[in-house]
Amino acid sequence: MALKEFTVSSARPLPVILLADISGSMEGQGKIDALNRAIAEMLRVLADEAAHRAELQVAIITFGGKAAVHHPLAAAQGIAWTPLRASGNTPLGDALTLAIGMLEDPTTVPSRAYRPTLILVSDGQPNDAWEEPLEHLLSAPRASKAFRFAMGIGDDADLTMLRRFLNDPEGRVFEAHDARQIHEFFRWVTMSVTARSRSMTPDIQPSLPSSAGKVSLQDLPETDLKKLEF
Amino acid sequence: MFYETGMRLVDDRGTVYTLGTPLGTGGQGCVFAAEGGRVALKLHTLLNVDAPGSRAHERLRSRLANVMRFPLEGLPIARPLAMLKAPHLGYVMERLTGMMPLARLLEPPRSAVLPWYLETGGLRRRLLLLARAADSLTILHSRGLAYGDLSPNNLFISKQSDGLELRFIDADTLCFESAPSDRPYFTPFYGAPELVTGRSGASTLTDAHAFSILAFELLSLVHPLIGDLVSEGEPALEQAALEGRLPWIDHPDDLRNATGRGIPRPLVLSALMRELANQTFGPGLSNPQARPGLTHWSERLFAAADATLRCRSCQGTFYMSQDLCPWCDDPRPAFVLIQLQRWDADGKELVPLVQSTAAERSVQPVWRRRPAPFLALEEDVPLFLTGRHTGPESGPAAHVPHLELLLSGQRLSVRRVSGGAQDFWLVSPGGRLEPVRDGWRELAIQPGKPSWDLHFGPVSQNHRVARFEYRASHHLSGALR
Repeated sequence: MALKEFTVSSARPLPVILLADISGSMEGQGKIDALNRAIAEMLRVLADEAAHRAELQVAIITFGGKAAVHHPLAAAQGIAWTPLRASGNTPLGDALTLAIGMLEDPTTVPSRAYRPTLILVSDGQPNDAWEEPLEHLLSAPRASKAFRFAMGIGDDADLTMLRRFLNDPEGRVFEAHDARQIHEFFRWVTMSVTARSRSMTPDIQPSLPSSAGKVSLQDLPETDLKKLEF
Repeated sequence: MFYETGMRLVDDRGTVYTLGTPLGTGGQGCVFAAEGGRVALKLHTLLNVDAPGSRAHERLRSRLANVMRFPLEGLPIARPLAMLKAPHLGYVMERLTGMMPLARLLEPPRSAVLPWYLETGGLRRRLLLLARAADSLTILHSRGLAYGDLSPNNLFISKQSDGLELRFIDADTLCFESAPSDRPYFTPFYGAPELVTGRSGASTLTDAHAFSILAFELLSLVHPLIGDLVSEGEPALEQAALEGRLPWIDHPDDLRNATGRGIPRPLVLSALMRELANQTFGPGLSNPQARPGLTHWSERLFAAADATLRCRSCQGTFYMSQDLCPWCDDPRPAFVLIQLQRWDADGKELVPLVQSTAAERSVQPVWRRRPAPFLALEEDVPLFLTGRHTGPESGPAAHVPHLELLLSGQRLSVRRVSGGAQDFWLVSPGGRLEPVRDGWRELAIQPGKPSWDLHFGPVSQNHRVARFEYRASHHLSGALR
């Protein structure tokens, strides 16, 4: 007995790119630990999300000392999470440039992908030339269409910069002052992504003539099974 | 508002609940088991949109309170039992155990799709689950209510792979047809184009669209509006498809969105079901009035399930009109074809169950045709004739078993299971009458020979009659010729 095979549609990617500030100042007040736990929880929820139409993908770009791709864009289910360590200054501009490169590269984010989600988390002032990369991101054909979320951690967060990143008068920068609020922000983002992945695209006529009592005991013609309409 | 295990909430009768295990989250809220009880709590989170006490909040609260008073008796809908006190927005509902969202049956693995399809109940279970869901929705609609947000996450089914229990779990979006909801909730991919584009609110016809998608997708594992054009294209095309601006995947003339994915439709959708799909996703896509209602789906799904047989080799179920099992090419097993006819007491003769005259049929659209009344009885599997066959009855009476049939080799056994409320008679090919009783009566049945007829009433009255025709396995019937 050999069973036949059928093909089914492949899921459309739904990219989530996190830009995480891991500069030295994140070391204070347990901020980096809270961020690590919140990201780990987000990854776990996204990995568990059984969305057959959308494949949730996550990339993590960090900026602390230098901008780096901590996790390249990959299915949330396959990510082995390694916690972030804080050190160095805040090169946001370079991180934005990495994000633009990722979003604008059709081999990383194909045109059939759903609108990406871009999350920016920072606790301070960028120390490189970030304004030009931001303008570039806000005008790049595909990066500009991403859903953007922003969180400022602590009193020193540059809310003006975060608002410019959102580039939406209705948008709200989430301000976190403790570990609970950092978790709350990530849950909110996670819910928005999973809700989107699930509730996507906000974006025989019988021909026997015989009758009982009148039936002859002769052989009966077979009913043509192909002609029974059902 | 965020909810976590351990939080305590109070309902409007003063009962205190502690949130237990989270059971699920959706676009509008989440569900938690209540600790130590048989209930669950549905909580609306209306995230970052409305604050407690706002008009939107109060509107939703009054709508939920209304749902508690809707006429839902006898329907498998998990209705609100009590409202939670402000500032929380939610209600107490029945907790479902041993059930899972229908969505699980819409998530095939990337490979070995068919073994998974068969392990999760195969064709017959899918047809019966859908038939039961359509039947419930037909009753709901007959009471003037529309379900609203019908989706694979809102319909729960037995976890067991042969289970046929089902429960609609989201009563929040129920509304009277005459007073459509102001906020049309829908689950994209299942929302009718008029909901997606905001042209109208929920109605029995938007339910019909959602159900048709669900039925097509559950059976064939491909969304009827998402063909290759949409699937491989930009997400904007998906929106266009869901708004009804692209041809459906099996459009007879417009092949732009055709696809080779999914199970070939004739294997899983009966001819009359394909006609319903063609009407729903063809003319009915842009014109809700042209959409067939749930009653058509219910009738055809039950009829299709009646026409299935189980393969002796792969155990998959398939339509008896196929000579070979479409899953593994094993020959069709022997079975008895049971055809229903009508006894005309005045003329003292059997006549076909004609629903329309030949002239009517020539002008009637195909999708309005009624399925031929027959069943396939396979060997060693008991078959119950219910009110739907013997009546014809509708509503709950349709599912009351009256007679049990069993085929072993070329012996057909019959017995009454409904008590003495209705007279059933066996009539021999020579015209001898014998009453059917609670004990088994065994009849010999042979290929090509007339058999006993089973009458669902006394000869003095009009009633339905079951006629039996033995069909040897396809393998044997070929060899004999």
